[in-house]
Amino acid sequence: MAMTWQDFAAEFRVALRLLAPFMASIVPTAMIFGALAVAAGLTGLEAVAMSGLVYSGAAQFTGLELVASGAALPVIALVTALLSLRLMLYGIALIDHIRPMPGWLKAVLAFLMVDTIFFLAKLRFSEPLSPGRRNAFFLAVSLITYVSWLIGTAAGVVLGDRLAVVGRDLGLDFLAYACFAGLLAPYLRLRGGAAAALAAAAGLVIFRDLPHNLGLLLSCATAVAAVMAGRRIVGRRA
Amino acid sequence: MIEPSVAIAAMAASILAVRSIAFAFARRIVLPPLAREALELAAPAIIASLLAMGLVFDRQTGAVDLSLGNDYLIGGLLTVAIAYWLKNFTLATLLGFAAFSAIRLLH
Repeated sequence: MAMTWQDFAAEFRVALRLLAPFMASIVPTAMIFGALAVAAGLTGLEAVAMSGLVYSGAAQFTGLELVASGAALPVIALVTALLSLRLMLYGIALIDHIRPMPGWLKAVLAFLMVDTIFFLAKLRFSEPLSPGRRNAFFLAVSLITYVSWLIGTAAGVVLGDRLAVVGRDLGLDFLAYACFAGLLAPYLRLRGGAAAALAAAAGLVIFRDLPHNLGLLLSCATAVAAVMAGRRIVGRRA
Repeated sequence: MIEPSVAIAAMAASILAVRSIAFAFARRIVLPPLAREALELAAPAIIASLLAMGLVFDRQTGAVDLSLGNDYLIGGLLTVAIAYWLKNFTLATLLGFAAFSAIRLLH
């Protein structure tokens, strides 16, 4: 179960390779956040602290708006919790891998769970790996993403969002979607995967105007329920 | 306006409480088969929703745009197709980006 330095070094390289296309969207997004935070009246230190302590794009951008618009503290806390519900789901979906981890690793990874980590962990864990290597990958991919987010925020504070805007003009923002598209593909081979994906995409178009990412959660819940119900109906007829 | 440092502390506490639930109670959480099935399906559903959020809507007007003129949508679908056949995540995303850039140049 123990993770060795060799495990960590090897998985660090794998994590870097898998994260490479994500970096082109993680760093500019963090830069935009840093620039916006300063424009909204936060100090550079507060902007970096928010990235370091909250560490969630959706929660940070929304939180910035709420703080600037004078929202009450309980509202800010509740919206943040709502926005992070899917991060809780990610943990539950990886529970079989998390259960045998040492306590210190659980504590670190609980803090560092974001979308990218979950999907890359699922991708990597689909290959046969020793528990030590799995833990090493989980830790490496989480640390690299976290440090990149902090560096991006600090760069945004210092440089403003000019570089990020240039990147968007070049279409670099598409890379984030290319990453998700690449992650979706293996699921289309699973039974019900394509149906769940199509139903969720259709659901998002219907529910997208709901506030605070509720549309995202509702479209996923509806799609999963529809596919599970469909399976049972087809199973009963067969 | 609330002091930003207080808001940051509240957000940090709130998000940590939610995102650490699975890690804190990992030994006690036992997933029934129905929950396992739902979570397996939730992964493609969440990715597809995130994709739809970025690819289906016109960037200026916000209206649904399912036409061939939507470079992001066509590029995204091409990337899914490339990744499906190639089974290599990094290469597929880079080829997908190349396809997207080519489509943009053509338009």
